[in-house]
Amino acid sequence: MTPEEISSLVIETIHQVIADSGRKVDQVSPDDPLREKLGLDSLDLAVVVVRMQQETGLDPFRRQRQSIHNVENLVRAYQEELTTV
Amino acid sequence: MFWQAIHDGMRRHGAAAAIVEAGETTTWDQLAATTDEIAGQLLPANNQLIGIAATNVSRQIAALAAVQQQGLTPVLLPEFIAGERQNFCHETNHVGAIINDDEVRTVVAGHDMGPPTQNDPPADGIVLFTSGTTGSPKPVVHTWHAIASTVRNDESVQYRRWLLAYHPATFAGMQVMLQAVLTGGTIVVAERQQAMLGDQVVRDRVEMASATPTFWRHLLLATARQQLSAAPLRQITLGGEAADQPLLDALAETFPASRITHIYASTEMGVCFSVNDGLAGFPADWLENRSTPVRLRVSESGELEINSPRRMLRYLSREVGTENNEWFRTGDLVEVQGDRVQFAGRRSDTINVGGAKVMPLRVEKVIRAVAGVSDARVFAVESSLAGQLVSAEVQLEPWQDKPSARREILSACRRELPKHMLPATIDFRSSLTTHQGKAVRGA
Repeated sequence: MTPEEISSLVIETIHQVIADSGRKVDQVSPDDPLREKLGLDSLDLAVVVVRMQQETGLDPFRRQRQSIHNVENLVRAYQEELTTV
Repeated sequence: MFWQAIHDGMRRHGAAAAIVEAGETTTWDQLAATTDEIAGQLLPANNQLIGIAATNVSRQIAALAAVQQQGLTPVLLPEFIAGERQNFCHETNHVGAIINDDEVRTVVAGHDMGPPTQNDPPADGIVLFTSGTTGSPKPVVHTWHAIASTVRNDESVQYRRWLLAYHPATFAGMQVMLQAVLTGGTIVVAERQQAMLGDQVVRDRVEMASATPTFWRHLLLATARQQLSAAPLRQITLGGEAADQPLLDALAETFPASRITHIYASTEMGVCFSVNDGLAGFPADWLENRSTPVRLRVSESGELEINSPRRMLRYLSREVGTENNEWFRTGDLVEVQGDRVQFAGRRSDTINVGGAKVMPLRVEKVIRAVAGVSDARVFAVESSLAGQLVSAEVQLEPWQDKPSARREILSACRRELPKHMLPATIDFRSSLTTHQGKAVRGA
């Protein structure tokens, strides 16, 4: 999986989690703050991470707790995980 | 000792029945002859595991004895772990041969076996798989000595007729076989058809019977009490699930002359304790009692923890966490009620989402009520951020399509449940995961 692929998968998963919570979102951009802009709370983030784990086998939060504020932080965490595995 | 017991049995009982299975009798003579035949086909070698995949009980017992006689380590491979069995034989390069119903199939010749490793079982070892009620079955290393240490051998149990109602290749099945063989008894293999069991218990004159509470409930439901009371049952043992008071009472009423025991045991922990007073649960003064070899305590979260000298040595595979701590978390939730400890369910049934508890039944009920859903199973999925999350497996009616079912399930859950109870993942399956006829909840 390439860094670009994992990036679009993260964004697609965020889309899906927002849609599953019954809300609408038009576009997800890298610098969108997860909580303030997209309305994702810590439980939603946990859901994103579990679905990513099932999809890719990757879970950057198993080993360390990065601080994640926006979409880009999250994408980067996965990209780093991709290079260390 | 196991294999010697079969040769002793041959000398003492010869043409008498050692095993009665599906209407066929195997005599002690035949059992000893099969043991010798299999032993002759095994090449003695160091650090070798021998898989036993026989479905026939006589063949399995002979295979166990033969493997032990040759100083090799048996691994019991029941058919319900078919997938694990394949992986196991593939990944473990120490499986020398597989014994099945028709042949002894050499996998690796003795001289090809690698050097000994710290992963090798001890000389007295035997490997059994956990039943996989929660999680996938794991190979567990015990010693023959430890698993035989609870066998009773006083006069009252010698030369009896034992019902084998457990799968013969499980820990519980091994306990029954060891008990019967080491005391010169006859094993009566339970009929697969449950409706026939009542007849069988009477016809085959079963005296000692060990089975799950579910088995006993079925037996009481399916057979007239009057017929059952004709069975010469002396010992009734319940294990594998919690025995409830109504069942214990019904058994005592139907079999007034029988001793009724419920035991607490698991593949990992061995036989931990048995209760003979006819009451569900166990006495509260057994907790924190330091004078008994098996010690019991309740954790802060209400889980029964056990420290037992009869516990397994370890899991066979290195990858599976070898828990070296002495106290083993059983996964069983208990409640102290007065002077009694009662079982309250499996911990794995409760999903803990970031500290908030979710009972799977509540979520399953909401999902099942959605149009087009025929069944649902809800269980925990591990989460690095929330500890656990709710996961669902759903079976749909043929007419229902997955995308709209998914939307409707989530919308119903959002309407009726707090947010932490919403399924994080939904998998559509053509059939739900069951294990030996029961829904499986463990993640």
